[in-house]
Amino acid sequence: MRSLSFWAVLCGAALVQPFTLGGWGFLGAALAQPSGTLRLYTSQPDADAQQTASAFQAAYPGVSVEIFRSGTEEVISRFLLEAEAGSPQADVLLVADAPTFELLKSRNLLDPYCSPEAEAIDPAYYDPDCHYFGTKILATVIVYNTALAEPIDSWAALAQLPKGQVVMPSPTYSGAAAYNLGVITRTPGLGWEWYEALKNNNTVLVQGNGAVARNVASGEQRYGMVVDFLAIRNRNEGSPVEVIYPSEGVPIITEPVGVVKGAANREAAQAFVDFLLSQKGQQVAVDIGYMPLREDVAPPEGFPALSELTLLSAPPAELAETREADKARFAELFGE
Amino acid sequence: MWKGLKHPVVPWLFGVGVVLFFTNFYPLLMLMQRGLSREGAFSLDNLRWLLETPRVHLALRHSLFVAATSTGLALLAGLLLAVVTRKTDLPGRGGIRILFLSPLVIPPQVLALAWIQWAGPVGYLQQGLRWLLHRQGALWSLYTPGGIVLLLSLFTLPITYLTLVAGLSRLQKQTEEAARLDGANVLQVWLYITLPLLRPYVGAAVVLAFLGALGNFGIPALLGIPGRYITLPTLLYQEVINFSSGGLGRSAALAMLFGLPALFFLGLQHRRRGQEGLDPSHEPTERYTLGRVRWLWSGILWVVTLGVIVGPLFAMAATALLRAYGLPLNWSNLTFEHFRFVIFDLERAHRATVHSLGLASGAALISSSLAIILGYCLTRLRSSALLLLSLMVDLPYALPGIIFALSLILVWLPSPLPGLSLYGTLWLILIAYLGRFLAFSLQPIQAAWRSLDTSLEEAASIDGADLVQSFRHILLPLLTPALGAAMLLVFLQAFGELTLSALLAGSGTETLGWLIFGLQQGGFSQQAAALSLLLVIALFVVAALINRLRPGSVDE
Repeated sequence: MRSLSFWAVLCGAALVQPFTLGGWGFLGAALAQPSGTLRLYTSQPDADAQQTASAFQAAYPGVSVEIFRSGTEEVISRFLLEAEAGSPQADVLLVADAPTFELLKSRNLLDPYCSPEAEAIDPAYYDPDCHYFGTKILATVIVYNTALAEPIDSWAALAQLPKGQVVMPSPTYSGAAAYNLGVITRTPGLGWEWYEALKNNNTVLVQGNGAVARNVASGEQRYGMVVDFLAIRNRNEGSPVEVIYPSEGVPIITEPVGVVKGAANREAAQAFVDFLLSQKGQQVAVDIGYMPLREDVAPPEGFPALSELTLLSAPPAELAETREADKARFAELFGE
Repeated sequence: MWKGLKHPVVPWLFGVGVVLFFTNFYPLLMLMQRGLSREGAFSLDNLRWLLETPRVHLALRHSLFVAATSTGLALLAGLLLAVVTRKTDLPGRGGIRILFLSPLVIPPQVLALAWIQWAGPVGYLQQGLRWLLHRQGALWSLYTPGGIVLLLSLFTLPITYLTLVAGLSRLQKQTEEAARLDGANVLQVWLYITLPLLRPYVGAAVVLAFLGALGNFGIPALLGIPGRYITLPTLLYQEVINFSSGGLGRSAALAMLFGLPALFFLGLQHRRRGQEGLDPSHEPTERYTLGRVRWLWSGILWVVTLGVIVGPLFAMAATALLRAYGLPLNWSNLTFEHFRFVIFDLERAHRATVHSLGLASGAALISSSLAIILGYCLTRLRSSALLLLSLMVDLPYALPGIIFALSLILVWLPSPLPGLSLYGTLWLILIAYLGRFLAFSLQPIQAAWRSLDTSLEEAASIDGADLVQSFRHILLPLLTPALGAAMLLVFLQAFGELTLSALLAGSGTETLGWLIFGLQQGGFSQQAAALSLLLVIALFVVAALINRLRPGSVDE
């Protein structure tokens, strides 16, 4: 009796063994589908991140996505803390801007992956070494309250308004604002003088882009400097606001995605990158209300085409390097 | 040092000490180590940075000012409110009480936002008054130290109020009556009898309110940043998010700076021991009849309540009901869409509700149990080891939540015990809540222990009762009001908690405060307002139920 059960166990083990040790790999290759849990760290607004994750899960039914979301700086703080402790908990990162990823790249925390989908995208929007890829266009624009104010056409005009009418996010808190600070101070004709003019004009600082959109919609300030999709979303819902793309051009951030070095689920993380860059993934972004990166996907209603925009930019690596110094100088200037 | 520790309660205390070690002590130790090192080696650079940076001094001065002023204000208002609701026959006092308790469950960020919509430059109150007075331009500004003080005191008022009510409910009826019979008038009774007897509770209220105001981030963030009024929590936040450039070490050093006021208050409290004279007899004391003027007083109080509580809640409701932000308030612009969304579509709101309920009740139960043992030891035993224990209790509360959360991550991420991985689970959030809110439950319970005469225990032990028996049959019933207050305080604080879960919660471990904050930060302020409003309504229902189930219980 005992020997019978012994053989039974042995046979069972022989059957199971190939699966556990990958002995049936030829079968697995035929079904090469990522599976398991994908841990996504993102600064996308809650509902948007959820929608992105759901669309990805629909395309890859074997994967379940776990989201951690917060402001860019908090997400990165947490990620760095975990990476420093030797156990990064994220498989893939999707946060505000390229300089942030440059920082991670320089610390050797990203796993390069050259996604085949990147061919359809302008090389300006991704890292040539494949550490991160832009996923959408978030332009910083002027928003104004249509019930209280007249349109203006340029960043220069924004700094010449009567006192106390302008609101903008503080670069010490907002990742996008910190990026804009780096770019605008390097733009001829604007530079630090432009920020000084804003300061002398009693420009109001708030914590983030969401607060700018709110303050302008409620009329607390008449003009604001804000990420375009928030203002366009407010306008489409019926708030009394309108968006202006200034004549000098707009700084853009691309909300890049990158695979984490040592990710527990590398296959799923790479599939996530592919998905976000694919036509389908870009269409999901459009449905949420973002401007896509691919030229073969039409932007959502109310956005100008990518080719119509004048872009203000600076090399991400350089921006990453001077970011802290720029922020410190800004804080000193505004007495924050 | 160990002389006083030959008491039968010591094994229990040892258990509590072990728990505290893991929830409070070890994380703070790790944090201190960060503060005193740079790139892994011992260094005083961070402390030097503290001393040499003018911005730090400015922030410290600002923070001490707003915290002290708002504590004073909250204490006065809390006392007034406690007297009105406990000791008078003022009409409508129940409603006033519940309304003033509501800031307990509104996350401070949301409260500040509601206030901006109510009394800010384009708020309904300012617009209305401008129209009435035919005035142009802003009548006042919320983005000032005054605005911050006002909101901080509103935010801490429920804490002072509940603590003082717990004290009032333990006042002996006979003491006051005797004084009245001897010819003392009401004022004299208050000055010479009641207030001195309340002192332990006043002390507890001041400590809780001051530390709560000092560590609060949401209010100075929303009012201080536009007003360019830097405070310690906003400075700390700036440093935390500058993590990449060695900000964590500087944040840890700043966190130590936060610890100083806690040490100071702790010292104050320890000098004041053995307060006696509050009688455990649980009889309601005399109520003053106000006569005709009660209607006048009621009217005045209700106007104040409308201005500072109902108005902002109304503004929040308007935000939740408007089709889009910034539209004028009229019927055609109203919609229930945002409510429908958070109730039916937002699946995570359901999960978050369950999580927050579980976490808040768990934290309330466990921390009150720990507080009973701790409070007993702190008032009955004399040993310097106890000083360390109470320091361990108070520090996580004195520190801003984000710092305590970071220190917990430092500890639990590499997993200190093999095979036990709590990082990324609800358990870690529960640990965080325990560590942070234990001070809340300890204050009223310790005050109650202090006022319980030891003769009761001695009598019981002469009659042969052991510690557990005398606790169950004699002491516990006497502690009930304080215990109720403690559990309520912790539950309400934990239910809408944000700063800890901001770093510790994630997908699958959502909490309500975290969800509201996420919605608001992502530009969904109307949905956030709708969810907050539902939260407040839920509180009102809970408070009403407690009132009905337990007439004459702790909070009236």
